[in-house]
Amino acid sequence: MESKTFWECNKAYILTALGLVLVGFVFVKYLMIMDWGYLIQFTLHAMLGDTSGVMSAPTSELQQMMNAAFGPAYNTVAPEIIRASNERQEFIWYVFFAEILIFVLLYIKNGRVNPTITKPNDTVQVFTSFQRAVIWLNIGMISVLVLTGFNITWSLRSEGGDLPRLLREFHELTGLAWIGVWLIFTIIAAKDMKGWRSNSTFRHFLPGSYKPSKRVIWFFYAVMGAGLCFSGAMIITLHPSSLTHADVIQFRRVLLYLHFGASVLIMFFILDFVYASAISVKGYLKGLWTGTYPREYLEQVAPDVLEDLKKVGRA
Amino acid sequence: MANTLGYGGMTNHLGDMQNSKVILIMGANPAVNHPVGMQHILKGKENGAKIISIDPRYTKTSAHADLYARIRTGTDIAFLYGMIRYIVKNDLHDKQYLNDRVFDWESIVEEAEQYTPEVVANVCGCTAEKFLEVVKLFTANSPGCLIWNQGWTQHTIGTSNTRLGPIMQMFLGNIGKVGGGCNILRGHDNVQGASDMANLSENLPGYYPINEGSWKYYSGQWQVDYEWLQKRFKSKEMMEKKGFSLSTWPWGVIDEANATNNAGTPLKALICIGNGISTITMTHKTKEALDKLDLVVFIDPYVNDAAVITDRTDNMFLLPAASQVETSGSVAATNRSYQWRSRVVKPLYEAKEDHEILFEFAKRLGFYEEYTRSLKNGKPSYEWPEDATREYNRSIKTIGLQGVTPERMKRQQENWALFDPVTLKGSGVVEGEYYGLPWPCWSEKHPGTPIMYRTDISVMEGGMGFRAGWMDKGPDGKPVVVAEKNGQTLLAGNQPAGSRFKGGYLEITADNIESLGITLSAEEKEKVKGKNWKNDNTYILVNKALEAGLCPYGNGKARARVWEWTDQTPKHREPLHSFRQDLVAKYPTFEDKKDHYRANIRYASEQKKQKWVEDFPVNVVTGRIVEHMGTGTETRASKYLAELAGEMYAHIHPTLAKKMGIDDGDMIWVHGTGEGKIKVKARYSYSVAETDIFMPQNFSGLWSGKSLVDKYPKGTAPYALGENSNQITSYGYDINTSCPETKCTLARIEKA
Amino acid sequence: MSRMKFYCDDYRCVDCNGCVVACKEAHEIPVGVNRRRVITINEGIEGKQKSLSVACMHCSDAPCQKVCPTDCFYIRKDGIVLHDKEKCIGCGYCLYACPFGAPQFGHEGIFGVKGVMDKCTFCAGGPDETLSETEFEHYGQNRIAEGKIPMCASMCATKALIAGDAAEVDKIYEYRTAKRGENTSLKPYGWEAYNNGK
Repeated sequence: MESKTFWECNKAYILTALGLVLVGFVFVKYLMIMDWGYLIQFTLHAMLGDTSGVMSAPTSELQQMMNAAFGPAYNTVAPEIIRASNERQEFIWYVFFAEILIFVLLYIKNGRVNPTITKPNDTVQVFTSFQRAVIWLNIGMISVLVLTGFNITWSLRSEGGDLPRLLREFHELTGLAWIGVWLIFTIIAAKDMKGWRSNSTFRHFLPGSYKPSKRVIWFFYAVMGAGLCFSGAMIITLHPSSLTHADVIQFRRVLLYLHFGASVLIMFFILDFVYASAISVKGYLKGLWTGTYPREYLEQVAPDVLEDLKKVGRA
Repeated sequence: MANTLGYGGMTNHLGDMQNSKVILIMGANPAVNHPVGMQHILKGKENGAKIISIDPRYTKTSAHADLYARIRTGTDIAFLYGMIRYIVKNDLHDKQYLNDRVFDWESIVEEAEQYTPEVVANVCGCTAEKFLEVVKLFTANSPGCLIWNQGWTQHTIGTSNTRLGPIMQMFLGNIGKVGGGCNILRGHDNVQGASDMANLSENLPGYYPINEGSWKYYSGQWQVDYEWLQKRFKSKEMMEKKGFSLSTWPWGVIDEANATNNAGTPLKALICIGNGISTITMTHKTKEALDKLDLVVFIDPYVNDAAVITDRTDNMFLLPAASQVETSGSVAATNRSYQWRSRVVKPLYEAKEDHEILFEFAKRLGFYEEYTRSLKNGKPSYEWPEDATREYNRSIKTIGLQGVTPERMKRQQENWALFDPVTLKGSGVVEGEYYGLPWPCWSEKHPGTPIMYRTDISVMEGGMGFRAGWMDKGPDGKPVVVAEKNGQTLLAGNQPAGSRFKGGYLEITADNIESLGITLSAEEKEKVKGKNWKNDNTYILVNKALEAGLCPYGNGKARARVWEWTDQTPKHREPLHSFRQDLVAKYPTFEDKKDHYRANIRYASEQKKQKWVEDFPVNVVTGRIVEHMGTGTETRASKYLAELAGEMYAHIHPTLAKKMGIDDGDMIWVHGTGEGKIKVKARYSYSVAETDIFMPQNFSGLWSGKSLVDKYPKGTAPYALGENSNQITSYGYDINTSCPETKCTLARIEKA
Repeated sequence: MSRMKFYCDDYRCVDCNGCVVACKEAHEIPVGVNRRRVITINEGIEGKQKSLSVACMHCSDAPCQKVCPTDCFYIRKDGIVLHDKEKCIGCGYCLYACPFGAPQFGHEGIFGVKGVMDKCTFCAGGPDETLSETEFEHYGQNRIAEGKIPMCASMCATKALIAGDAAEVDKIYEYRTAKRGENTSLKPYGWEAYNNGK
């Protein structure tokens, strides 16, 4: 282990960070019209508890009136919301196209792993029924959220009406319910953190230990999920009345932007899950449903999982 | 004010404030109580008027003022005297006007002498510089108009306030002037009409005093026997005695000692028609009285909150009355204008119009025929409300309602667009009339009097002098006492334009009319024999006087000194519960007054009882909020208004709050000097002084922390409930009118 | 072509909330939804207290229209911005995009699920049949079709709130400005007026 260089240890993290920085830079520099200086200031203020969006004391009565009546600094975040919501309608296809392209390239490069199973009856139970329930609930909910989310984004195509409105409400309700699933996933994502004792329940929540490339995906999934859960729940609950409008509108704008951003980014990791579970390895999806895998499958594809299961005496 | 100028009505009108060059608002908050009146003030401001707001609070009106001065509650007299002193010292007073039109104004100058700017500053709690700034701005612009409201009347010295205001205006010659005057902005539909029609216990309709002469006059007007009328009363003495007032009646129930003032018996029953009686000070005493009475009847479109406050379980009745949109008839605006109101919908459910309810009472009590006789006036039946209007046209001559006929009012209603909002002058079919025929409207040809006491126009155009009839206002025709001092008489030194008689003259009677250059035929003389302008049913005296350009009530002087009152000239007296204990010795209150509206009222003994401010260190200001009206019985039952102002609060200055460890939004207990206590939410506000808290008077339904919502009949509870601030307002009543002292109150507050 | 505009004169507004209640009564709007609201700053601070009544400004380049994913907004020839409640899915994007906080969402339903958007219609109803019951139910009165000015402005006690043809409103504004003299921006409203005003 000591012989590994820093690069080898953290390759996955560095590549992910670089990728995000590159994508982020292109977007921020060339596509977005957000006032980033303001947004950073705002975030700091919000962390300290001031979510009004007023960064400095108003210099004139008129500015004060605008702050009180309409909310501060309209030109910082709101135009970006308008731009983003419009461009999401038009251009989000290209993002997905790019993301799918990455996986197509991966597939071309790596092909599909096809473990040879000689003793199909020698199986090991990898996922408990609870774990399967969580995983499939997540798959179901995410599908609903993605579909109903796109229903909002692309309602220009549906032209609104009762059904899209119902779907939108379903998006909110499902989102709130998903918070529970997301919590479990956060635990899973953090299960091999150094802080946990080696025999703690957390560590064995899901068998196997992470490789950086896998961990980073779990990690981002949890983080983006946090963004979505937080912003979504806040948007639903922090509902402005006409009198509190000015105090919360800027915060809500930032939250909506967070929701937009997180939803685009999380799509990459969702696609990764789809790729990993359905395409990269044959038989994975089936095991996800039944909870059991042939011992040979694990020996070939996930020896770490088998190792873990042996430790707790389940294999 | 009636005792200074002759009439208690607002002298000018709303639109006229657009002609003012300076508007002084003291003890009033028109932006809240009279938003439509505020329109004219703001238009006046656009026309170049300076707005001055003097108030213990920085109100919504103050926000639109050019100059604001904060004074301590109940110190307006010191402020006004200071102004008068400044005016006289700087020779700014209109001497011609004062000599011609004001009796004994020198006594005011004498009294004003002590109020130097420093004294004013000390008493009022504003700086001397601020005071001088106000006076200079007010005197530098002319004409100036003065506005007040309950902030002046609801004091032990309320009547002194309302006398000194017009006196100060007269020093500047501002009364009887376009753009000048004293404008009392009543913030309630038909308040002026209510007092015109004698919804007061001290007079008969049209301000006829309650004495034998007036009763005889009215028995004639009502076409009933005087003897029959008298038999309705326990005795002749009680018939001619002022009744309990809205503020003193609880003492007639609770305090057995008052029985001697009330023919030997405490009050037994209360019938309350459309009055929020819980807006009177010391609501817990009202509750006590309500609990003790034998019978209580509330007649209201909504459940009167007093019915909820009381603990009584029996002999209380709620009779549903129709609301204003379900009725029709004349209503008087704040500026003495009468307007015709048409019914919008018929009364809903079992609600009845007020008069229907009263007629039903009369039927059951057995005097329906007598009650409606003058409505029929010889015809087989009567037509409501026209015949009621005609009845007052016939009988109320003192304030000149002869000309305010239903026909004229209806024609005006149909031709609103033809009136000029600033001058009130009509054109086209209503040419030669002022809008609303503001009283006095002496005859059906008279245009009404939008601006009172103007001598630059003739009587038939709405001109008049001051009233000459101070000591004898009865219709029994006794000659007016002419008081003399330093060779002055009560008769005016000038006259309205076009008057055939030069100089002042007494009120028109059959005896003096010919001495004023008017000749009557023998037949006419016979008809008016022994009559005067107030009781002459033939109108010969009035019409002849008008023809000669004379004012029926004479042409007298306003009086600066009311010689039959305790305070002949207005005097500053500290409130009973004074925030400035050190000033009490110098400005003590009145002696206790016995039989004041049938109750024995404490003044000096209450003030000296203890050093109130030591135990109750916070000065309380109460007032109205714009969303709610009165007790809020009606407005709190509106979901939209309840949404806007749904909870009771106390505005507290952050400095005071911090001292007491109270955070914005904390609940606090407020203890009044009279045992009451309420639990309200503290709201930080810079509008109040650091020593004060402000509470709205419009809430009810919570009682010392307990909800009374269960006591409402099912489905009638309003949307917004709150503590009644009058539970903690202090004891105290005006020395002349018994108006309750709601504006000077001390309290103790503590965090709940 | 005339353009309909609101103008609230902060020299005149006395924070009486008359416009708010007039609007809600006229259109029978549920509690919690305020098409119009009155904002007061510096309450109680001498010389600095100011009030303003605000509602939908009926922008010519309405951001709500730009952001709406269902494209339910439309701008009438007279400049009134209206929306189609049948199309609206209640996503709330217009609320984020609006500089004035005009779009309103009710609080009914479980989990605070928002209904469809409601906003000031300049008393001009909506896309439903003019003066029909459906129109009243969805959007309230259509006073413009009846030849009347919006309820809020007609009920304003001090005539601080003026509504109508922009040219007429501008005339009133100019008249008042001229009467008041200095210290008033020559242009009513708009950001420019705000920035140059004081």
